[in-house]
Amino acid sequence: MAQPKYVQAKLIQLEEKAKPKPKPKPKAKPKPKAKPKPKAKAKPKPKPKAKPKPKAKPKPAPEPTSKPERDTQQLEQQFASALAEEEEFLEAETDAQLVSSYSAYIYERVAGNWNRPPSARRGMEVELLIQLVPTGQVVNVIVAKSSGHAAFDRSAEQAVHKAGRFDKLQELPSRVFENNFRKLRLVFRPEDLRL
Amino acid sequence: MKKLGAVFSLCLLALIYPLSVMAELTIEITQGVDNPTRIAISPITQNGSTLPEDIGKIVDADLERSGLFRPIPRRDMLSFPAKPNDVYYRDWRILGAEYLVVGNVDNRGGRYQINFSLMEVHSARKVFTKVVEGPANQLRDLAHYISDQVYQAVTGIPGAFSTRVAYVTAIPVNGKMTFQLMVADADGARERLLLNSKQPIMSPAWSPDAKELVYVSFETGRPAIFRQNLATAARTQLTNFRGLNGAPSWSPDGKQLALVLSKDGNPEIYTYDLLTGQFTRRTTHFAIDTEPNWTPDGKSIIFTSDRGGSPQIYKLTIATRRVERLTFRGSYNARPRLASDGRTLVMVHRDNGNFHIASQDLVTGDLRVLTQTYLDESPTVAPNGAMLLYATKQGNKGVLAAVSLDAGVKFLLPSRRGDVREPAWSPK
Repeated sequence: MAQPKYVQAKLIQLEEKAKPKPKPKPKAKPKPKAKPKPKAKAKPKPKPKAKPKPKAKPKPAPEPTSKPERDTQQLEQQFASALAEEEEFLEAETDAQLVSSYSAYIYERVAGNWNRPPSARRGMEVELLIQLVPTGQVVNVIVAKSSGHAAFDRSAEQAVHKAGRFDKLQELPSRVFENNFRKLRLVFRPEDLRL
Repeated sequence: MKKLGAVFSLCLLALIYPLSVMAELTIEITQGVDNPTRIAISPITQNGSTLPEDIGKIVDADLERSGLFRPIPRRDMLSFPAKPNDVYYRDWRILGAEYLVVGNVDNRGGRYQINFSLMEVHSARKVFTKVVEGPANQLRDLAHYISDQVYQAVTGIPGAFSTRVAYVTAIPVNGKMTFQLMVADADGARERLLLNSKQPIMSPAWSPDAKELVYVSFETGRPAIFRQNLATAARTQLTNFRGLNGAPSWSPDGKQLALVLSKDGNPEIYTYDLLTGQFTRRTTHFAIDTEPNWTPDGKSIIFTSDRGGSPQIYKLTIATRRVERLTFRGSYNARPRLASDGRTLVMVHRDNGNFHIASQDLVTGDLRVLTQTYLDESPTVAPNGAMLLYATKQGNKGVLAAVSLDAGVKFLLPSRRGDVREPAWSPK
């Protein structure tokens, strides 16, 4: 029964790393994990130890620890390698995690400033392209795809302008900023309206 | 107003296009807050000198009353720009303004011409510049026109500030009631007396061009329907039957009235051709059929009937004579009015023994109680469908009250004198 404890310790560490932002995002979890990852991998990273992580993904702990229970040395070794693997996984995961949490931050700032006009209806959608500089300042907003409703489009632009500056983006490593946040696509699609 | 929940849904997609460099991170915003828009109306003057009416104040009050705007008080303003080029945006950002209205007035041979612009403060750009003109006695109309234009640009729905309201007041004079038919601007200003009577006046309704009213007056000793022109005050008596002559409603094409007559024994819905003077009976039922109101397409009439055992709302399709029940929730639904979308039904609805105004979406069937006042009566919807007026009681006095169709804005219009009842919002 020693192993489960180790496993738990690792999970806690993972969680700590995973939350530069302590926001619970129930739905967000599965999606960001699946999608942003290939991206993080796609660009050449200066990490020599970047190993394929699919292995690490499905609960890395139980697998290696399952067989040799009597040989403690072997067990320790295995644990160490599992830990190393986990570390790599975490490193690789970090970018995606950062992107996810800072996206959540942007979401919050924009949604918190979005005053929908009373003519807004579910099903309307406007797409904005925004440009940011590393200070978090919005330097450009353009309507990439209009909803066809001027007041609705304007409400989305206003939301970005009112949010104005995403200061926390300054905390990001410039690699993560450049790869993900210099240009952003914001899709405004109200789902919480009555009509 | 909705608040952003603590738990929010975040949809994060890093879109990877196989052969494209367009790989911006995409964030989907699916929630918002819907607070009133902060707007500033810079004083609108004639090169600094004031006009008989304070245009900016009227626009301010109009927008505030809609509940969708929270104007910035003039005393907080750091500058009073009159033209787009005079605007120093930072002044307005500091105040939290999202929009700014600037304007100036020219006097051209006794006629006022107002140039006005709507500016977006955060993005520092102009939404529009428009011109409106009129004589000195129409300054309030010019102001309401500005309100309408600003409201439409920001909210995406037409404004209804240039409309009027007809209503009946009952004032005790030496222990006896005097009844007055009044018309006022939608903001309550420029109240005008149309008819003064010792006998009750009821059920005013507008012609579709908003130039005439029909109403029931008891001045002949029994209820009769009259038609009156607002500009000339000329009036004509249209009905003089025994029994009930009531609840006229003007058809959208202006050619007919729907009304209630009990000349054949019990109250039934009739139509009256204003050109030929011909009456046509439209319902045939031993129950009471009353309070007709046309659908916006003019093809049907909705009305109240107790044919199902309790008062409920029905729809009669004129061509087929088919009658269909529309309301099913609760044991009392009456005095139906349709918003101009033809989809939103408003009515008096009894809920836990209290009479409130409720709206029902005729497509989804959703019913919402909009008011929390008691003994609510006579709902009438603004032509833009954003707000309705109704009659209610404040203490033991009859007053008018307003509520937005999303129930977010509610206010009372205190009565200046006597009881106020039966409001009718003009169609334009």
